[in-house]
Amino acid sequence: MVFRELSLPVRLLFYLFLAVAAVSILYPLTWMSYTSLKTNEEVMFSPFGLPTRISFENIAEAWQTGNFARLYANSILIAVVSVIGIISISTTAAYGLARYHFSANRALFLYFLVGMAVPTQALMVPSFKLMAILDSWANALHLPIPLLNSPLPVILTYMSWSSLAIIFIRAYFISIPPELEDAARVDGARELQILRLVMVPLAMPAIATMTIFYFVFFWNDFLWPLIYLHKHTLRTIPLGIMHFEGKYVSLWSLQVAALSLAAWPPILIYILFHRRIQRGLTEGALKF
Amino acid sequence: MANLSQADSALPQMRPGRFRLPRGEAWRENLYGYLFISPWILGFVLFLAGPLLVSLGLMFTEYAGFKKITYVGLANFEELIKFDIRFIGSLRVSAVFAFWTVSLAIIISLAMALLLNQRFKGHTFFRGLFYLPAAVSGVAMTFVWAAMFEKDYGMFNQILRIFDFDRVAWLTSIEWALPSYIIMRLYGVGHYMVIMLAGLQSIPDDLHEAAKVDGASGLALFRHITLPLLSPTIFFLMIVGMIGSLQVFTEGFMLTQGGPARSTLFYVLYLYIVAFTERRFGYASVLAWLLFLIIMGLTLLQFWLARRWVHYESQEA
Repeated sequence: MVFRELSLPVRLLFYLFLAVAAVSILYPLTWMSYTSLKTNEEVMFSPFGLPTRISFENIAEAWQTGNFARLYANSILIAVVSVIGIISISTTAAYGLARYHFSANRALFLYFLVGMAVPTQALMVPSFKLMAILDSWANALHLPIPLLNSPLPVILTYMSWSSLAIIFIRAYFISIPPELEDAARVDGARELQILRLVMVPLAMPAIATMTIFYFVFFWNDFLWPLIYLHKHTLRTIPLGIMHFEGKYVSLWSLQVAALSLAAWPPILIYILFHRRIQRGLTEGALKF
Repeated sequence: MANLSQADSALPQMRPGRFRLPRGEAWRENLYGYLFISPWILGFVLFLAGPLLVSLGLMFTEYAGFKKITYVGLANFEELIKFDIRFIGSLRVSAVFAFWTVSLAIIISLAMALLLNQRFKGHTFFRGLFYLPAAVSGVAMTFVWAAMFEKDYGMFNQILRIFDFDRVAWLTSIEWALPSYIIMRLYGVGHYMVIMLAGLQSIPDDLHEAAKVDGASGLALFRHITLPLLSPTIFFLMIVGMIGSLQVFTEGFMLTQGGPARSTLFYVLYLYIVAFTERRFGYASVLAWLLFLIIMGLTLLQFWLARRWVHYESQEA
């Protein structure tokens, strides 16, 4: 079927369908964005109309009352540290699995499936207890590692979710010819140096894709911060949003402004990196 | 990536490591191998396998999260089978939700992918646009949807009013609450579409050309060439979609907490309520493991069924 061979009415129908789909996808997001730029009066009198003039009063107020500077700092800290951790762990593990004598393919695949199928809710209680125990041990040994009331337990939990990254990066490593490493080995490079100086630069596309993926995922995650971050100074953006929406139920304009503050960063990341994200998605599926 | 064709196999095949050190140094090789994977193994044991084993043990206890743990034998299982109405209800809610979201998402994304696979002006733009909602999912989007479903001013009821229909109490009525969540989920259908589209594009053009020369019509082409060659992709989406939708939690937790009249009490939401509101961790562990078994069972069943309908090129070669 070649598009240009179709008759004009069919082609028009086709574009009409696409336009309807595009509008219904964009509408909730644009509604959120422009509503947060309206003044309170406008939100009251025409909740779904376009703004007549752009005002940042609600954005500024939501930023202040929701303590968004704090939320952003917490979210960025947790996401960045977790991503760095998970990428280092998965890259070394992927290299070990790709180049040494493990017949780990099948086991890894099974682990991936099991990891997906395990309801994280089954892990919540024992994990929470485990962190409390580790925390008391750290206290007894006078180690300055706070495992409760700190972002650390969330970060450690995130860092254990490496199966996707391992599978993805490992597949990329396998496609790199081993002669390159042999050459480096002949030149006297050590194993870790080979990984750092030869393999990682070559596998950068896969690593970058995983970085973006996990960052957005950690940014949006709600459950683990809900379990570990009880102090309001530690809250991440999803948690902050939840409390904010509960507190200002009647102030719609303020609520929507807060939603925009939370949703814009992932949207921006997507717009910047959408090609890489989509390629990553499809490659992951093809290797299933 | 053409060299990683999906026709490869559903399960990755065992591939021997390509690189081999000299024989006498096998011990060294193993050592390095284990060193490389040790951080991962450590995290896996501490934060996945360990807690999982603990929750396995908790199934036979009563435990409220404090010091005292009471061994109760099989009492939790007995309660599950004999007395728990909420459990049956939540299982039904999740099953209905998973069935409709996965089947609708596959049909819609297939249609969209077939459209976007045409080479018309702007197809990359539309592809990027359709994936956008999947990227911004999460808490903020859930609240935006709550506003869309709002009874008086929400977008859906505004549209219904234009066409002179009665208002619908989307998230607050027993009939419409669950369908509302299904609609909400389908907003992320772009995720399926991108993968479907990649599957379509990996089908070689010459197969279609050859069939056309033999006089096959558009529908026959779709039925006998596109669909069989796309079946591994559809299979992948069915598995991933099923697992994901059986675990739905966040939306329900934030918007309706299971109401009205338990019509949106998703299984995992019920599990969370048992664990953290009622603080019955033993019973919650039973629920969690049962869900795990259900998901694994369904996945294996699908793998078994897949032999009848999923077409892998390598099997014929």
